[in-house]
Amino acid sequence: MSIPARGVVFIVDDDASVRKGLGRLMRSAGYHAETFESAEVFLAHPPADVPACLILDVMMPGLTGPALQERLAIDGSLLPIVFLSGHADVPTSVRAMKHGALDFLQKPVEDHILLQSVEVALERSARTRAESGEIAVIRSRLELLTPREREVLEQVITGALNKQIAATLAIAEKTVKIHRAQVMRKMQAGSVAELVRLAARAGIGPDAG
Amino acid sequence: MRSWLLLLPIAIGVLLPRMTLADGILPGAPAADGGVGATVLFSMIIATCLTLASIYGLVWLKQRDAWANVMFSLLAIGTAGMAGCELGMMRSVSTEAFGAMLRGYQVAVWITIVGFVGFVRSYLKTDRVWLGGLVLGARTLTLFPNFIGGAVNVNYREITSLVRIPFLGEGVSVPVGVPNPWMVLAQFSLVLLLAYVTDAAVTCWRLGDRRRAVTVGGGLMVFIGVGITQSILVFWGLVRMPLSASVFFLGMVLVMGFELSRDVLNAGALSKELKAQHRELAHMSRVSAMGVLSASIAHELNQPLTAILSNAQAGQRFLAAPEPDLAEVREILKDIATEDVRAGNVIRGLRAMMKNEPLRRERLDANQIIETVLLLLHAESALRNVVVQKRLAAELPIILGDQVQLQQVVLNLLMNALEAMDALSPGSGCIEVSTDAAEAGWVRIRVSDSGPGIPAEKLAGIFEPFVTTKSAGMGMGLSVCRSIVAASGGRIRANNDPGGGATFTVELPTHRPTVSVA
Repeated sequence: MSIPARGVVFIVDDDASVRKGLGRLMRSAGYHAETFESAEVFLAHPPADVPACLILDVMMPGLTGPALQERLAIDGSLLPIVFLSGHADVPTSVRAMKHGALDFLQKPVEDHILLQSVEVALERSARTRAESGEIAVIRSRLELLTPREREVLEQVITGALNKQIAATLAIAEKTVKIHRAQVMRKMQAGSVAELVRLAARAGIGPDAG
Repeated sequence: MRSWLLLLPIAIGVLLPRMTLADGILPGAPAADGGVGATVLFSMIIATCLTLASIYGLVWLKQRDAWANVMFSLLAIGTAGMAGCELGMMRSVSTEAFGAMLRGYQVAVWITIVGFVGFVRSYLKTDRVWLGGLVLGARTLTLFPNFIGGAVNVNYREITSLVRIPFLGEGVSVPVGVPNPWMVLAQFSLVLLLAYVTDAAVTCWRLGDRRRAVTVGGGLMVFIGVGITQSILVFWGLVRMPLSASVFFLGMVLVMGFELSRDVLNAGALSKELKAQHRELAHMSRVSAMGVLSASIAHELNQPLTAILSNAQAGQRFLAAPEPDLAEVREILKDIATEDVRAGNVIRGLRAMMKNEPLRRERLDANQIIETVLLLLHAESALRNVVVQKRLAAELPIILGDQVQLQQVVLNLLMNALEAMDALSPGSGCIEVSTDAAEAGWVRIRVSDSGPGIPAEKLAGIFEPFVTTKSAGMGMGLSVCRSIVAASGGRIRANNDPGGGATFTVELPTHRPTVSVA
């Protein structure tokens, strides 16, 4: 293919012709498609380390679409799922959406609708991947902090002044200043505002600790 | 269908007298004056009675509980015998021959009366049994003075001479003799018979069946009354004419024959109506099954439609590329055609099941029937997470039947099996459908499931209507199956498997090609 792949689209459907058709449609739109005849086969497949999404049939022998969604959630997968059902009832679709499905489409589906969902799904996949990458970096920086520096960080992001921090932690104001400089250096934060953002990203809020 | 039989009496009536005149088959002398009116008339009576007797006798042979038919046959045979003896008497030239004929005549009358009473008993069913017994007893008694004692017969102590008188353009013999007093008993039995039939007709009228009371009861009363009157007048020498009671008894035979034929026609119409209702019921059951399956059939259609749409739109995109991959597009078009055929097959199967057409007897392959049904049930079994395994014989003899109805049988059995899986944990159910021709002359279709089986108390009557093991079932499916299989000349049975689950077995006769008669 001359068109560069823009991400991997996994397709899980028990119907061979549907798999083949959807796979072709994805390739015609420039995606790399991988098809699986059952949820079990898909689970046995190693997860992708590129932006990816899953087009998932609902009604399948063996593990059904919603059951696979549940299994992936337990495994902590961040793979966005677009359900494609020929037999969509409202309770099933509502449950799928509540459990984080990106979309719930009806067969037969128009290409622009499906491709739009896939596009959104791949964008989200890319973003969550990037986000999860950034968080990992922040977490590694946080690990460099000493317990005392961590305490100071938690105080700083609440907007407390050095004097207040010194009082709270029962240490000298001068010592607080040294710890604070260390925190800013280790966290690679240029300003208090940036430090607050990084902490929030890592799940440390002003109320934490 | 056997209407040509009715031409027989006319043929015999015309031919018999001619043969008689030429070869002397009938006893007695040919008429000196050449007239044959009486001979023709009585020959025709004989032929008519025998024909009717054989037709209704045949009905009885095929339907042993049709007692009215056999009694009617007896009556007609007796009447034929009476007509024969009457003709014999008319043509007698000696008093001895005349006396012997009259003796035989009494036997024929006895047979007729037995048939008569039996017919009233089995057809009107409103008679008094003791009165009928009295009639038969009295009539049987008359046979003793007929054969035992010095008299010529029950009617005459002795016949002194014969007199030739003209009758229907023919010279016939009538007797001159001394009446036998025992004749009173014979005539008393006839009066009893009249009372018997009158009583039965009145009761029939009172019970509300006025038509039968008038046609059967009234008709019999008139003919028997006239017959009795004539025999009294003739035997006591009050009127000089030949004995011709069989003419009036023929009237009774025709009345009864007409009644019986009405019954046969009614039964025919009834059975036709019943067949139509069976067909209607089968159709309704099919439509309702399709209703139950509608969601899964829609899904079954959705798959090829989805494949077609995504293939077509992928094709458009490929073609829009600067250098279209034509090989890929060719593949796409091929797949689209395949998927279209697949969708078409589902729709054809669905439409066949929905339509209500007259039954056909066509040459069918049991495997093909099962494949078609599995196509309709594919999504349903997937939805229920049940695996349906096929074990179809490679080569099966042709069977005869209506394709749609036999598909319905297989569909019903498989749907029952699928529903039986509800009792199990999801994904653990298994159904096997198999065909074989192990027994010569039969094709066997078996549907086995791994469900809970049929409760023992319901197993025996499982094919009866309104018997069901389902909480929401009407109990019509298997009853419809049984009538369809029976109509195809086959048999169906159900049993629980030793290892759990139920097996339904349908056996259908194979088609034996017959040489058609040109």
